[in-house]
Amino acid sequence: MELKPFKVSELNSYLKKILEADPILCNIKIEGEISNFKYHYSGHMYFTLKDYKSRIRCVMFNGDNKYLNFSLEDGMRIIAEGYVSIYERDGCYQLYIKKIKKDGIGDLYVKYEKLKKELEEEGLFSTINKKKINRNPKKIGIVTSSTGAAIRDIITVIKRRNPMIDMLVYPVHVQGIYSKEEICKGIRYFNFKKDVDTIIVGRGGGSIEELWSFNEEEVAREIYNSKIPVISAVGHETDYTIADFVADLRAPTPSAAGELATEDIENLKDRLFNINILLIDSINRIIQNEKNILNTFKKSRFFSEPLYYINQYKQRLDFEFKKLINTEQILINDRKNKLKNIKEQLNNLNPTSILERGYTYVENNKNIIKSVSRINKHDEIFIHFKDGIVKANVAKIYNGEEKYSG
Amino acid sequence: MAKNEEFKLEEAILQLENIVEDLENGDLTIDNALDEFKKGIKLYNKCYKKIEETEGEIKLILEDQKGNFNESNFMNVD
Repeated sequence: MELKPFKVSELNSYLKKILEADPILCNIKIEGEISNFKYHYSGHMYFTLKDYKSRIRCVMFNGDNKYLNFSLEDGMRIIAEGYVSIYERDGCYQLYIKKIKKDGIGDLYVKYEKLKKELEEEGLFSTINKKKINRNPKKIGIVTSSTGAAIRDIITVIKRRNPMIDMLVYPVHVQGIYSKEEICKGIRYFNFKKDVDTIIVGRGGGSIEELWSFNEEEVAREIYNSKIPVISAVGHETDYTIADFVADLRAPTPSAAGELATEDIENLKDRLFNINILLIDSINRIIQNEKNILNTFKKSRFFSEPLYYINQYKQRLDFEFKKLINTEQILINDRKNKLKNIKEQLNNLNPTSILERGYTYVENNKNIIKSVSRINKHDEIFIHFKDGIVKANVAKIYNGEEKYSG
Repeated sequence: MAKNEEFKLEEAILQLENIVEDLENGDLTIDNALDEFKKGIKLYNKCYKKIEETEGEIKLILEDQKGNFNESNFMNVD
């Protein structure tokens, strides 16, 4: 017997009955990570639960979710309890959740913790290996998706903070199978070209699976090996990836990476402005200093009371002049005295003064005759008296002790 | 960055700070000080102009089928 064709609604209704009758599906626990979470205004919650390769649509009605003592959000790992059924209108099966428990560590977390521990022990996170970020770069390399919000945020922030900076975007898939290889290639590209000061590697927020490329060992090692400082900028503040630990600097968000990679141009302007003030201040001080020196000269007595100095000189001149005159007088007196003495001496020696005392002298032809040896008998001699001269002829000469007789 | 001149802003600012230091030490003669000051003001104006006028470039790296990398202007920003 051939069955007549089912209507779509009949098929969905049939499947729904089968699913709801299944002993496993009617009360099942599923672990997974929340994504695409929507809290509808009706009070119902809609989201997807997923693991690293599959997903299932979920609904939790307001009657059930009002007992939740925590709020759900994307990326949260949970264990959901409920039943699987079909939403007949759309023909899709989904998980109708009654209860939710938070699930701390799932598979990916185990993988994450294991790699983190390994790399940490190997020293990849060591702070001594962290390179310093130049906050005034000329050029920044960015490895991220060229279409996401992350790149827009990074560029916007950097342009706002310092419009002078060049940016070079190496576009990559930030999730999916090509992602990790592309990210590594981007970091290698910038290291090969060597024309950027800093590399920013990152993406916007997402679930742990979506961020997974940044937890891959290859990406971690590429960041570690980069000669150029790397800033990681993955997801939101609360997301810590392996890339964050190994990077030279972790930015909590892509926008923050833009901030951490640059100094606000206003700081540079302030610095420049301060330098300008210091320049002008110091030259003013130097000029003022010179002026002060000049003023000291100007205020000195020499300039303010020139007469004082002139008078001083005058006084000295007077004094010296007097001294000179005195000296001169003394000299003159001295000479006078000397002259007087000489005159007296001369006087004493003057033969005429001897004549005064009754002596005479004899001469012959103007020659004074001091000895009888110079006279001969019959010589004509002149005897000088004080009051006249006697011409005489030598009658006789007595030598020395010879007896003289008149 | 505009490629019309190879003017290193950071170096220029460091140089400026050195000039200020020299002037503040007060070891210079007035003539030397005035020369340094003129040099400083010139540098300051250059730096200021640089900051005001320079507009950074944003480029996107694209790899063609032959594996060559090309840089083109990045247009994704408002």
